Amino acid sequence: MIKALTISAVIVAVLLVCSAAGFAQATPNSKPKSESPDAEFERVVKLADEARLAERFDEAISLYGKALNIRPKWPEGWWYIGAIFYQRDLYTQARDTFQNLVALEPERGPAWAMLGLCQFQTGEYERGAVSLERGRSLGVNDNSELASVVRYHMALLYIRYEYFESAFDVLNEFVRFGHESPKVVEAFGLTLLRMPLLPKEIPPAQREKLLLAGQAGYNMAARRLDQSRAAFDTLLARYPNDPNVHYAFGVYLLPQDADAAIKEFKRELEISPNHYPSMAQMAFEYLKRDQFNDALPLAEKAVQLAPKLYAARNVLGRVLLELGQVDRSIKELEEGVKLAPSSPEMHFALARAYARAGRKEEAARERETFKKLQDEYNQKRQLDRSGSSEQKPEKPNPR
Amino acid sequence: MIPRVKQYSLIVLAMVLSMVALAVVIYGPVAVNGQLSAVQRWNPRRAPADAVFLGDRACAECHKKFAGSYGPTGMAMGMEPVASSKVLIENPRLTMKVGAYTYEIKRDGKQSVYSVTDGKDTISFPIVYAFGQGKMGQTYVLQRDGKFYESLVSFYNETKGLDFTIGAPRMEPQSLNDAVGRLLTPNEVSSCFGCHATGAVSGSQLRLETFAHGVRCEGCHGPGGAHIAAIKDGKPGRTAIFNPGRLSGDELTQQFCAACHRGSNEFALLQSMHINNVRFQPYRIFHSKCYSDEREISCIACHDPHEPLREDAAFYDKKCLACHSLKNKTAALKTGDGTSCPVADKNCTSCHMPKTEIKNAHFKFTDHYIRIVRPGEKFPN
Repeated sequence: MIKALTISAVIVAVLLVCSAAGFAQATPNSKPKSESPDAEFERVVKLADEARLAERFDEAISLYGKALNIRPKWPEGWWYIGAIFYQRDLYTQARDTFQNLVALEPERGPAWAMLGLCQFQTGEYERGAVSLERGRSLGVNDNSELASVVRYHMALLYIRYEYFESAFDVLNEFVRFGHESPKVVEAFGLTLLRMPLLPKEIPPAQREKLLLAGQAGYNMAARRLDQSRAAFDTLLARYPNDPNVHYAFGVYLLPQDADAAIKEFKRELEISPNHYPSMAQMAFEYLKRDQFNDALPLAEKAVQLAPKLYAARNVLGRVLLELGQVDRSIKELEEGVKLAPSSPEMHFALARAYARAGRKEEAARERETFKKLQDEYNQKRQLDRSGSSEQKPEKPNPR
Repeated sequence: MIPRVKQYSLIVLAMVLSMVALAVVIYGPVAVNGQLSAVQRWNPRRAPADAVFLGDRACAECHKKFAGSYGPTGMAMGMEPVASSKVLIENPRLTMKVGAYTYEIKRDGKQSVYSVTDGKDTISFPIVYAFGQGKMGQTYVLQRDGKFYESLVSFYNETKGLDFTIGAPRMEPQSLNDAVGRLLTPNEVSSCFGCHATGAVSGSQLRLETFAHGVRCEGCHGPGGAHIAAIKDGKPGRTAIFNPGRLSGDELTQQFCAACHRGSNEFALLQSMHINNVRFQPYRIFHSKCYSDEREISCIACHDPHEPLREDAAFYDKKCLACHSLKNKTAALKTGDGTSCPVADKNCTSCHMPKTEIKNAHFKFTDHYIRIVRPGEKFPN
């Protein structure tokens, strides 16, 4: 199930498109008596391309292998073999092949993406996440199908490792491109209900709840607030005492009606007394309202329960700053920056704390980092928003 | 010898302590107190639940000069009482047609009525709240069945007429109900009144029975009761009132003024608004090369909040030249930019802070992102 059908489509498309040029230059099959290595390489490649186009994949693998014996640093050879292995569900072999390719061409985004997908299939989730992230940062967008599959698997891994907010951001990209598939809705459900499961691990009894939460989440991301509200109403009516349901509804309410959101977070804490996301959300809202003494215990407890949650460090640091506990504030915010060095808001908060402490140079440095990250964020956002890659036809080169 | 040194040390210590004590009295206990009090921290958007406002008259008894000059400022007139609204009085009948819908704002005695009709049915409301002084425009908040709506159309000074409210979809509404305006969420209502009125939001609750229109004295300085009581008791008044002028440059710009004018910490939201974010000066100035925590580049370095906004570029020259002038090398070095402008020595803002038009707002805003503007460059977000 994990291996989406679209993956096959991607591979076939990539294989077909990449072979087009080679096919046009096909050479005779037989090996001439006195052939130079270059000529032999060209001949073998042509034969391999022919075999691949005819879906004689065993033969194609063998021929590409021969070509790689002649030119071991021929990246396309590794790509084709890896893609064929993947197509045939031979993930271990595919993984090793793409590993060779990324060693040869470490800046090739699609190769990292394919490596990450292989690692996902072999259950090497942590490595898979790293490879997929690298692929996404280098860019796989020239191939919209591949980009979509990578995005989906990236979201699943974020969910599995409980980076639910990051998962939501990634899934949001599907919303921007209008890809409302059942799988995406299901992933939204896992994200909203903070269930660190892969789709294959979802207990059947939980599916209906996840679907409702997914619909609520997808519509929330798409800013179809009425439809999201309707899904939440059903979810709350059917599962009023299940963990994370009230929290998710609170998150939905927060931008519109903060008082109502706080009630939901409080209800969540009645159900799950150690629900640190609710604590952090409430602390942020109290911080916004200048209710620092209400925010402080919540922020402290959130940090205690989730010391690696940078948002909790952020809110605690900011609350302490407002309460005049500057040194403690700086300590929390510095820890937050260590946890999330690429978070603009962490640097912004730390800059303010340094300024309050009279540490002007450090404040200026953090402010500059904030600006830099903000610019990067902006560029990425504009790139994502332009959605050009998703709208354009696929380019022939998978790089 | 030793007792003499000891005695001298004690004298020095006593002098230092008395200076610290004096500083505490004059500047407030910021530096020595662990927890900031309400006097040291004031959120212009949200008054604590127990805040009691006395109104401008109480302030004017002593601060006559400020009371006189502040009245006509944009902030003071951030919201007009409908009965005395200059915009509504001077424009007794405003109309606009959008597809099948016709809008009319008509003066009737001391009130104005907002109506929209599709030719068959008409929905009318008396306007309760008029947001904006009319320099750029004025938007109306309507009340219907206990809910608040932002009028779909607003008044714009440039055209002296109605057009779509900024942010509203510029298309024919789907129904007469939709044509009235956009339902505001409770958070939005708090934001609108929190910034355009004084004492209208208490905690997270609206307090519309007692608020004052516009940003009044206590909007920025907090409730004045303790301040007046302190003075009457012969104590220094400064310690009992919030003074934003004591904040650091960055806190003032990015936190205090930005509470309404929007600062850089709202970057995710503001970047999505592209050219519309030119309206948010704290956010824009933050990107300037010369931005820092210094008060010399904060809002009040150029703008006196107690005076009406100066709009002549020449007025601001001396602010720029305080640092960017070879005549003042020390200041120039302080900014890290020791050079004067090679092109001109006057009207700095006309080039470096270009007026940028938001067409739908019918207004040109000064871009506070101070920079060398290249010909043909795109608006830097």
